[in-house]
Amino acid sequence: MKRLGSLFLACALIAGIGLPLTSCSSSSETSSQTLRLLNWEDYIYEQDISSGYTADDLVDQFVDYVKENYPQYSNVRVVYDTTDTNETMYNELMTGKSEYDLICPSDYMIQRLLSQDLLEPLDMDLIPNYQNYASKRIKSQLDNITAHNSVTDTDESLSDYAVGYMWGTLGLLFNPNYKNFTVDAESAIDDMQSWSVLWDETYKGTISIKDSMRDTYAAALMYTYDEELTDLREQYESGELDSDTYNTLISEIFNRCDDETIELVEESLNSLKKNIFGLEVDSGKEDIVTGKIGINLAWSGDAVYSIDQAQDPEQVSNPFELCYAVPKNGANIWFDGWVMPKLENRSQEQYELAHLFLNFISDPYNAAQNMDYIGYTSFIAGDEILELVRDWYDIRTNLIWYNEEYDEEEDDEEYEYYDYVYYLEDNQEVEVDYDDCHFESESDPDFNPKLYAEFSDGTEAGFIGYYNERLIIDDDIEEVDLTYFFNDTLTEYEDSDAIFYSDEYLPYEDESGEANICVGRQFFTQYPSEETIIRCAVMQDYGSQNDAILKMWEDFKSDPLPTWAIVVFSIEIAAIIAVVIYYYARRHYNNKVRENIKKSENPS
Amino acid sequence: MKSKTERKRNRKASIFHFRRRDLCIPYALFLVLFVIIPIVIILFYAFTDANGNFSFNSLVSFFTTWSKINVLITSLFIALQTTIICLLIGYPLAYFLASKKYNKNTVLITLFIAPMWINFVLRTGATRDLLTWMGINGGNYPYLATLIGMVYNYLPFVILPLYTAMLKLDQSQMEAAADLGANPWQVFTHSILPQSVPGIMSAFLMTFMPTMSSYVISDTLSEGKITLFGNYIYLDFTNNAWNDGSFMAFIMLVLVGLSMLLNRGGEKTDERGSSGLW
Repeated sequence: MKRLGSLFLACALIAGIGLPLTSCSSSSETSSQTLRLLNWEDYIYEQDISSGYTADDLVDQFVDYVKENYPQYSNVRVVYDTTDTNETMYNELMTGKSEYDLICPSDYMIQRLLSQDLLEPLDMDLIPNYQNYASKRIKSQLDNITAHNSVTDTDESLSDYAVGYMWGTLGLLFNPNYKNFTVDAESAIDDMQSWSVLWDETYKGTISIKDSMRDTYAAALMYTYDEELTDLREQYESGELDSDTYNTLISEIFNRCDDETIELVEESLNSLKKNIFGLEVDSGKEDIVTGKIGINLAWSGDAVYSIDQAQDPEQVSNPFELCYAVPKNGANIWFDGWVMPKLENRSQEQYELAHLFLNFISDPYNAAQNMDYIGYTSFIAGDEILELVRDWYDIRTNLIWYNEEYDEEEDDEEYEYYDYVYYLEDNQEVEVDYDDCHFESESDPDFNPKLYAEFSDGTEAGFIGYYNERLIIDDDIEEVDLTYFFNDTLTEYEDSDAIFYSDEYLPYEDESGEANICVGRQFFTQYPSEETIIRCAVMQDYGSQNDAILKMWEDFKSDPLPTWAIVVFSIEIAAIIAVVIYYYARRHYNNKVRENIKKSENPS
Repeated sequence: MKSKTERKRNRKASIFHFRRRDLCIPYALFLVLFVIIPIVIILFYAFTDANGNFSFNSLVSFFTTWSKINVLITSLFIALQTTIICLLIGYPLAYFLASKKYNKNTVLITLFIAPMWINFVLRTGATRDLLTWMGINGGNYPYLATLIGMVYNYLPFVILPLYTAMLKLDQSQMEAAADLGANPWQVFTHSILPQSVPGIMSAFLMTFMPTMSSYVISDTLSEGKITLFGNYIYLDFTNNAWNDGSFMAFIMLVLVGLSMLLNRGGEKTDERGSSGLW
């Protein structure tokens, strides 16, 4: 025992010596010019040459940018870590072990961190790009959220503490032509305008919801208060309510978490359980593409990904169309933002570097790189984002073949390489000498969108987007007004340029015949219309009710055993007990027999 | 007799002198860092409240919350089914694999163990696709799908200890039993079965407890419809309910301890003193 004791002592000694040693070495590594970031996985632009993303990681670009423009930070280093839940970020801060300069939690978590006085205010004057280019409309969502700082006992607005990064909605991703639907595509699209579709037995066994407390709570809440929300919507549509009041009232319903509401939501959830296929966290976006499910409660960013996958012939053998709907009685709008945790030993340099980083990622060009790579919607508007959106969705952007030798650096020169241009006219290919054709030419306003070019030696390689305002707009093509988003952020373009033409935006007409843009494919998923934003609310932190909701969620997650299982289980346990009793009884009996034999043999 | 100073010098020198028992320092370190300290931390959180004060809140909330007890029962049920099915499949299989009469090489046993070498998360994902293709999807048959996945995953852990136990079977005892007039069934119940008890106990330990605490398999294959004890602990930890989560982890520890005791009891009855495998 004594030996063991000395062994433990030795261990303790080694551990005791070892720990300070390692901490010394790590602190010498982290110089005062090291910027430490904690972000979500796959949530920033990274180099991926095989997929065509050839530029350096955004983080490396930032380091180069700082070294080039700020000689005083020549030793800048970035430590970039990732995590997968808001709660992990929270734990990092609560245990006091984290040394991050910037982290990127979601709306409610920022609110919780702020209410516990864990955040440092940001100096917005050092982040001019965010002030100039962040969409004013989306930023105002952030301004409206306040948190009560329990330490300083003041109410503070989130916009002083957070720089918005990405945003989106929570809605229904669905396959209107799903094989197990008993209804046709049109009535399916109709039904998706309401949260009650999740409870609808017509769709039994085709739905998967999120195995995440807050999101599923939100959906059930909307269903529970459906009548109230319908009333509100009718009042808004008839003009009795203005959009601000309407949004405020929806937000009020959306953030109910009193005991009575929790009880009602639990009832809704329990009846939902019988109707769904399953609960998932991240398999849903694949499952809807592989056809396991037809409806998925999805975040808009994941929906963009699924829609993309489903249409890609390299991913699925029969490309098909997925749609995304934000139910018209109201839904959730969410965002993730960068915040600076309070830290005692943060150097002034790190403080400034953090702001430089925020300014860097708020630059529209960098934001466009991020958005292009991760597929979520950036807070940032501005010229580059407008061009990116045009590239992606505007029908007036043509895809033209270009020569492999074409060098992107040389900008406009590439058009000289073309010899011929083909376009379709009445399904006939028409050949035009490239020199005779000018995309902007007034003599040829009716260029078909499906046009391509060829070289005299017949080579065709690669694509390049080319934007041409004069292209025809045919009947299926919708005008999409995103001026609300780009307002006041454009320099080279006019606000009116934020009106796009796209076939990626499906209008939906309800029974009354009123056009209502509620459903659509990627474009709508990524950039909801202003009407949609008005009926979306931010779901705030549950505060002290968090435990009660967690308990409700635990109850929901635990299903009592079915009867057959109880029967099987009891029989098995009875059998095991019987075997054990039999075993001991027999041993006892044998021992007795043996004793008796012994006794009879030696009757001493 | 050595002088006092000499002895002192020797002792001094021995601090830097390598002794054989120093070899166990890395193991002791490992034990302390990765077993003992975590257990102490679990115990600490299990019996404190959010402010770090001693309390029985988690204990009370565990035994008064029906959903938690319910999850425990469900986990026990799934674990017992998995163990029984695995033993039913694995026992005869291990017997034939170990018997020289039926199996003349080791390729077969390798084949049965092979799935163990592939990461189980990947395997579970593949199982999910396979089951969906066969029409046994977790959405409609959560229990069946989960059990299939569990049995598939834990079968190698049952076969291996049983196989080792079967290799050690005393052939002469079985032959003697047969010579003395026992029919095959009696040979089995009186000779083979008692001899393989350590193997069965090891197999039981290797299956029952890991099944209870596993959560990836049930989550993936039942489409999130079956919640096991492991899921619940995870849920609590991810929602900052550290104390409740730790208490449930503590319950798991107690169960592990109980099953170890059970195994010990089984060993004691084994008169020849052969110890459990693994």
